[in-house]
Formats: sequence, structure tokens, C-alpha cells
Amino acid sequence: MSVQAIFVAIIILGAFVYAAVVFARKTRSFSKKSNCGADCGCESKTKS
Amino acid sequence: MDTTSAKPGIKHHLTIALAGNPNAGKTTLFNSLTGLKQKVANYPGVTVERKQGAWQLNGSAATLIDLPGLYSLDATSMDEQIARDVITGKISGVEKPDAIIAVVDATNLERNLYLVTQLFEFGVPVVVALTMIDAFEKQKHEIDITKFSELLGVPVVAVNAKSGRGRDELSKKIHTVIARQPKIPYELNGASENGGPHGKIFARYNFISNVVQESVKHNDRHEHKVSEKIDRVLTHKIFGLVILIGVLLFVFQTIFSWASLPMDLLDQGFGAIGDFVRSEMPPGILTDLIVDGIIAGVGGVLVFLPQILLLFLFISLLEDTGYMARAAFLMDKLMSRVGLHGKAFLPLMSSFACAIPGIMATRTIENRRDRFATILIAPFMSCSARLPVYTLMIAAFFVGQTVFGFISMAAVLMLSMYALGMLVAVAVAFILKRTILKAPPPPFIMELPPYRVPNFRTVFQNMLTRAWLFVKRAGTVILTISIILWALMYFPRSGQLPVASGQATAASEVETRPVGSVSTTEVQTESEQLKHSFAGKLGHAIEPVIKPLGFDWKVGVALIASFAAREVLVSTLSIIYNVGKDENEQSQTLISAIKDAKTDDGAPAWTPLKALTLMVFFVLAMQCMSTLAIVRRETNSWRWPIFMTAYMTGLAYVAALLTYQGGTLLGFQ
Repeated sequence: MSVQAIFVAIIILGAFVYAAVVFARKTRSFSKKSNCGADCGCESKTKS
Repeated sequence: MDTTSAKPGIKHHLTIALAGNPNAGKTTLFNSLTGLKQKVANYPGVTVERKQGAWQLNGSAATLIDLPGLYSLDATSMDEQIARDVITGKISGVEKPDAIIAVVDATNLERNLYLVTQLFEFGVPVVVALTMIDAFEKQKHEIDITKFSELLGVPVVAVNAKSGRGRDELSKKIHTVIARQPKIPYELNGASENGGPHGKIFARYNFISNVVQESVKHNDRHEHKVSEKIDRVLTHKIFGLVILIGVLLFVFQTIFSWASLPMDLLDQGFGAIGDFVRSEMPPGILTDLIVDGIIAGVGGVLVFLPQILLLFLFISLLEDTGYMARAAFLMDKLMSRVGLHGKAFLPLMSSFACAIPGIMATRTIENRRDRFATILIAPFMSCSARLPVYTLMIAAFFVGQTVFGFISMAAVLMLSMYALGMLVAVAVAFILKRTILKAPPPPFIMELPPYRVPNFRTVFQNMLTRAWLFVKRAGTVILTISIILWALMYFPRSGQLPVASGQATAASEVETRPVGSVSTTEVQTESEQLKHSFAGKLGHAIEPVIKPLGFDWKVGVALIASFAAREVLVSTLSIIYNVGKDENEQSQTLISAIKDAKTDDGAPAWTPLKALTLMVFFVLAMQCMSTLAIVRRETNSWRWPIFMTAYMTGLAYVAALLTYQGGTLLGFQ
């Protein structure tokens, strides 16, 4: 396996791990909990 | 009511709560006092938003809590209950406030002071911050603040969040009131014992009336207020709607024309970065990932940043000037006819930015069925994540065309997509309110704030906040999905075919060919690789379902991926169409790639009709995991998110089918 392939494998694995973590967080947000809910990147809302 | 609580000891870190009516200028004052040092979260166990920030109070740090906008503390809604609990220190993790700043709109004293009279009863020191004082003075009214303060029994400070007037005095008064015991005005003390069940209410209004009469001078000059004059036109049942449509057309037209140059520059920039990386790095799988996966995927979405900036600039301007409330008033007539609660408008308007805060904003709707109906239709409001998809399709096939000779087709189509979402939302609400969510329409009083010159600092702050969220999302969610999608489209690799572009060709050909360009053989090879990849197989599996909509398997892959986040469709198409590069061309823009793309049988992959079909699908489809998550939380049930996904997907499919098949039958392409 070339060095490039190793780097690519690490990056792809990292992406899957991150996706799994985010998915787990969102799944936890399916039930009410004490603190802030899921972060979809839209947590800030414009209020006048 | 106990008014003789012990004086607090010396505290180094104070907690101050900000309370006031909606539209009194509370949030503007909060932003002015805390700057960007704010945190947004939820109160424990409920879904009411908690906003707090750091405030430098005479050299020492304090926490400022922005309570929800309230007209009273009668605890008929969750917002009011939470506010009461915060003030009484019943929320775990939230310090009981050492003082309350009651924000009072000087142009609406009687209404705003009702809440203040209720705040007195909690035994927490109160300072009144009098806002809109410039508008009050422009109306040629006069207020004797010293007398006003004396009659109320609490310090009163005139503030102007824009200019910073009164900020220092506010800080000093906070310390003054904390140092002494708060007391309830005599007129309010024991009122309920004297006047029956409504005695307290009458006592409050009597008190307010006396205070205002003694300290405020309303001039007798009869002048038509500018706001009322403007409202005669802007809220007219015919002209108002025409003007609203005109304003929206102007906004969309401007977004397209102003954003076009920066978008082109960004597009070229990302293309140049990709070419540079490919020329400097040795050919191989890592280069392919970086150029064809990351740069193509993330860059494909980031090019829309100018449009996002402009969209939120206009939304903020319309909100800050007070026009958005007029738009709400015009829409309210339509909404009430289908049984929608008047309070539904604000959540629906918020959903144009993102459905998540819009759905959370439905907490202000007391009736459960009204609230659920609003939640179920909120995703039809075209959110900012759909904007890159609309823009891409419109830019590829409809730019340069006009309607009636002067209105840009791009703006008309954009407006049509937003209008389609709203019309379908209204139709669905009509059905829901007469079937599974039947409830009588409640009465609703809407407040129209006076028109005002927008606070450009607030406007730009909002615009930059939204832009940062867009960029952050591109750098996290979109980046991750781009990498995963690239991997799914890249693997498995067949050993009999060239592994990566540039590797399998003869050395002499590599030397003479421009950097980044590929041969016809390599294009065919890469297309075959894509077809047999994991993503390709998935796309082919769902192709029979989407073929009647005019979509091929590549679009199928993009539609599946966009379930995670709508704008991922753009990233996916960027990756798909960059994998199969055209002969003798360097990296194409996505728009030209879409125009040139062919299906497996050589027909154009995209036509204006197919682009329109995709947009129609996107208006109506439920394609956001985060929205589903929030619906599950807000409804506390799996039934509603499943129902929402099913009915929205079905509706999107049928609408897209009618668009494509109907358009084909009519001879459109």
C-alpha cells in the first residue's frame, strides 16, 4: 500500500467516524434532554 | 408578597435578566451590551431558547440573560412560565438574577409597563431601560424621566442601543438598586384582596395610568404618523400584496445579479486551486481525493456564499425596518382562512432561513394541534440550504431570459419556487386543519412595530453570523459527506482499468497534454469506474423509481446524499461530473458540466425541463435529517416525523412526475 493510499484511508476513516459521531448526537437529540438540542448549523436565529 | 428580603451580600459576579415586550428593543440592547460574547442554548428539560452573554458592568464581569419577549408573566405559555422560573431562581443551572432590566418602549408606555408592574412583585431589584426614546421625541411627546422614576419607584434610564446612550448610567443604576431593598409600589400592594379576582389587574392599569399622566406630555398637535400613512398602502389588501411580490422579485433579482461576479470569481478560484494541486502533487489517489473529492465537493457549495450573504442581508433589512411585520399581516389573512394560527407566521418566516429554529419557534403557539400543523408545513418554506440547488439549475438553463421583456426569468423562477412552497403549505394546512388536526381558529392580535431606520450594525452582524454558519457547515458536514461520497464513487477499483487519471497514459502524451486534461480513453474508463462503484450501484438500484421524473442514476445518488443536507446535492454533482472529465478540458465549472453532461445512452443528462423538475422536487421533499430530529423532539413522538417524511416525499414525487411528464407531453424539453 503506497503512502498516498495510507493517507487516503486515514482521511476516509476519519470522515466515517465523524459522520457516525454526528449521527449519534442527532439520534440522542430525538429524545428530550436537559441541554441544547441538535446542532444543525442553524443554532443562531435572527430575532428583531 | 414578601418585600423585605435580606440585602444580598457582596457578589463579584452578578446575574442580570433582561425582560420586556417583543419589539421593545430588548435584543438590540442585549446585543449592544454583550457584543459577540453570547451563548444560545435551551433551558433544561424544555425547548425554550436561553440566550445569555457576558457584560462588563463597571469593570466587573456579569452575566446578562435575555428572557423571551413577553407581554405579561401570567404563565399561560411556556415562555412566560420559564421567565417566571428564571426570575425566581427555579431553573437549575441558571443563577437567580440579582437585578432585572425592564426594557420599556417609550412609544408604547402603557402596554409595556404592565409587565413592569408584575416584575415588581418578585422582589428582585428592577431598573427600567427606556428605549425608542428618539422615536418618542420625534412624535413631539415629552417625558419627565425624574418624575417617571419617582412615581414608578425604580431608576429609569433612557437608552439608545445604536448610539450607546445610557449604557454607563444603566450600569451604575444596577449597582444602586442591588444595594438597596426592592419594594412594591403602595398602589399595587394588596390590590387583589381589595378588588376581587381582577382587582390586581385593575390596580396595575390604574397605577400605570397615573404614572403616565403625571410624567408624560402628549402634544395636542394632530399629526399623521408616518408609519400609519405608509401602512395605508403597504397593508392594503390589493396594493399591499402587489408591493410585497414586487419587493420579493427585486430581492431575488438583486441576489442573482449582484452575486454573479463574486460567484464566478469563487468558481474560478476553486478551479484554479484544483488545477494547482493536481499540477504540483504527484498523480495518485490522494491527489484525486483532494481535487475531485474535497475541493470539488466543498468548493461546489462555497461558491454560493455571496448569494447567502445577500439573502440574509435583505432578510435582516426587511426585519429591522419593520416591513416583515407588514408582510406577516398580509399573509395572516390568507393563513387565517385555512385555519392557521396567526402566531404561525413567525415560525414560518424563520423557516425561510432554516426550518430548525422555525419549528422551535412554534413553542409560542399554545394549542397543540395548531402547533403541530405549523410544524408539519414549516419545511415547505424554501430554506437557505435549497438556494444553491435553485441557483445552480437556474444559472445553467434560465439565465439571460426575461419575462415581459424586463423581468429576469431567473428572479421569476426563484420567486416561483418560494411561492410554490408557500401555496402547498397553505393547501396542506387547509387539509390538516379539517382532518387530523381539527381545531377552531383562535383570535390573534398582531402588533405592527413602527417603521424605523435599520440598525446596520445589527443587520451586518446577522448577515455575518448566517454566513459563518454556512461556511462552518461546508467545512464540517459537507466536507465529511464529500469525502465519503468520493470514496463511494471511487471504490471498488477494477485492476484491469487505470487507477487514476494521468497514470495510465503514455509518457509522451502526458508531456504534450495540458495539465489536468484527460484523454478520451481515460474519460470512458473513469465513467465505467463510476458506474461500477458503490455509489453507482446504489444509483442504479433506485434509477427505475426516479426515471419517470427524468432523472438518471447519477441524480439518484445526489438525491440520496442530499438527505443529510440539502446543499450536498451540489457537492455530489460536482464530484460526479468532475470524475468524468471531458476531453482536452481542464476542470469545468459545475454549470458547464451540467450543460454538457450525458446519460449512458448519450442523451443530454440535463434539460431545462429536468432542471425545473428537480427544483419542484426540492421544494416539496423532506430532505433534512436535522429537521426530522427536531420534529421528533418537538412532538415527542416518532409518528409525526415518519408521517412528515412520507407525505412530503410522496407529494414531491407526484409534483415532479407531473412537471416532467406533463412538460414532455406539452412538448417542453
